[in-house]
Amino acid sequence: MPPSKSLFSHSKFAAGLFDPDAPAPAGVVDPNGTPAPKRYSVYKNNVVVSYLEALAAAYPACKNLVGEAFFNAIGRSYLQKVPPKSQLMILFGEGFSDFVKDYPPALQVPFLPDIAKLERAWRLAYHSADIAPISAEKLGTLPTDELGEATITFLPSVALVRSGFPVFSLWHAATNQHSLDGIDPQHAETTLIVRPDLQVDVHNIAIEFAAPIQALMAGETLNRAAETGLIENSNFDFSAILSLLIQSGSIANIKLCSRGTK
Amino acid sequence: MMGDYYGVGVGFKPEHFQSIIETQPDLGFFEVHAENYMGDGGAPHRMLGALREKFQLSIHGVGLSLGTMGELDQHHLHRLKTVVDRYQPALVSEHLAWSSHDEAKNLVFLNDLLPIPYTQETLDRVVEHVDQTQTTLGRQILVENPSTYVAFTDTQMSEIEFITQMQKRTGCGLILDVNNVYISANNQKMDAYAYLDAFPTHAVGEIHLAGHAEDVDDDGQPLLIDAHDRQVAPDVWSLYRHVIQNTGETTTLIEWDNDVPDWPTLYKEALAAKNLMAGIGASTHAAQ
Repeated sequence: MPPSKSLFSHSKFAAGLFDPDAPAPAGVVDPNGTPAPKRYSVYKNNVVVSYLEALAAAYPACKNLVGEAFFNAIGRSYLQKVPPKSQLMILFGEGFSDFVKDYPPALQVPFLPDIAKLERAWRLAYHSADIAPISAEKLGTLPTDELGEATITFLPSVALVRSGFPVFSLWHAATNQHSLDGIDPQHAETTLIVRPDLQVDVHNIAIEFAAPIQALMAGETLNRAAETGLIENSNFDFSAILSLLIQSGSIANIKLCSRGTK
Repeated sequence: MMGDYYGVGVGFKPEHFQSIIETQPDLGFFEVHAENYMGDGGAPHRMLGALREKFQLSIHGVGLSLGTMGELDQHHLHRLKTVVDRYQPALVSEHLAWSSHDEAKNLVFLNDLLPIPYTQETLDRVVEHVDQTQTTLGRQILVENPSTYVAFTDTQMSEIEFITQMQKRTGCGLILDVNNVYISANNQKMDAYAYLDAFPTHAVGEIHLAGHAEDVDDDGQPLLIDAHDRQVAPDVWSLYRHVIQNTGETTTLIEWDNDVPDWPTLYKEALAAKNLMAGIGASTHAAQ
């Protein structure tokens, strides 16, 4: 008798794992050869629980803000909509902020996507490449008259999260499980995330710093970035931004473009 | 000939780092999941580097998907190589399982060690993947026996037969996870002792011990779950004793990945394995 056609298929076995109602695939049985949906559901549970735990580890403030039940409900939808593609669980949670933004039940928590964005930046910073901030010696040797045309190379951990909500205050309170009392929900905040050594720092920075820093991150010269700041505020003090970037350890290098100095 | 003896070790958890560095425990090695060290930099690498200065390492992959019927993810295999090259571990291992597939040319990762039917076709595929991994890494890997919750109507051979042939054809080493044997024996209605006696122990380079949880199957019968969330069960210690009586001193790991205890509790569990080996006068099998 020729062997019967094989029933096993990765895609069929995988397809039901994120669906609580999916039956066991054909050919998945108990030791007696009887179909075994409950046994198959052990794998469903393993997979979904492991991902929900990973999501909670990646977005602890989001979880604290909405509570575990709601967070897990978002998580289950996210898993179905954005099937995981990477073996690197340490970086699980890509695109969660965008997913939350379009997830109707989360509309009542309008600041949630920005908190998720901040936490994602924190996670990426935590695992980013180890690049030391520019040294004080190197900074001291830079010719000040040429700085205007210079550009900045940032540490790979550096990220900016601009929000129309008090993203820093909410994140800080939720992370530390403090009360949200006293946080003005209409107060916009901007954060700078950077990991100068081992610890990820989250700085609550002046909103008017956001546009010039973004310009610098996009590779614009210091002069061009300063102009961006002046558009919004004629008394704008660009040196305060440079101080912030230096003191926070955000700058890997300052390149004097004209001579191509490294 | 079994692999070299690296003593008793535990799965490394970052929350134990300080205790380990301060107390310098009398352990042979630490095991880490390879994927947790595939980030570019930061604290994980700093800790592992410090640990590597004092101890041997075992790099245990959980994401390579040796049991996939498709192609191995070459990108992931090279990430594994980067970790192995960087930390020069004593042992490198993976699982007889699958966790990703690209049947639709679109990789999906499932973050679990999923089972495969044991057939000639799956054997050929696993052999190919173990060969490829060993060639890329330029070294032998150990492949671990799985804990399973389901059976397949496709299955044509026993797990022992599958593992024995895989080992013969690839020259790989094996991890004998005694807790997995106990779990699968219960779940698949096999005799754990008979399984151990038939296992190709000559190729075992490492033994795993862990705790398991208990659930029920479709018929209300006990179904054991590989939870790694508690102490090693007494029955599993008995199986371990049975193995050591047969193999002699063998590199042994305590895995405790969920509800992770404080360092003294985990260390005590590792010492229990050490004491058991010493207690039955297990001789060192490796040439020393």
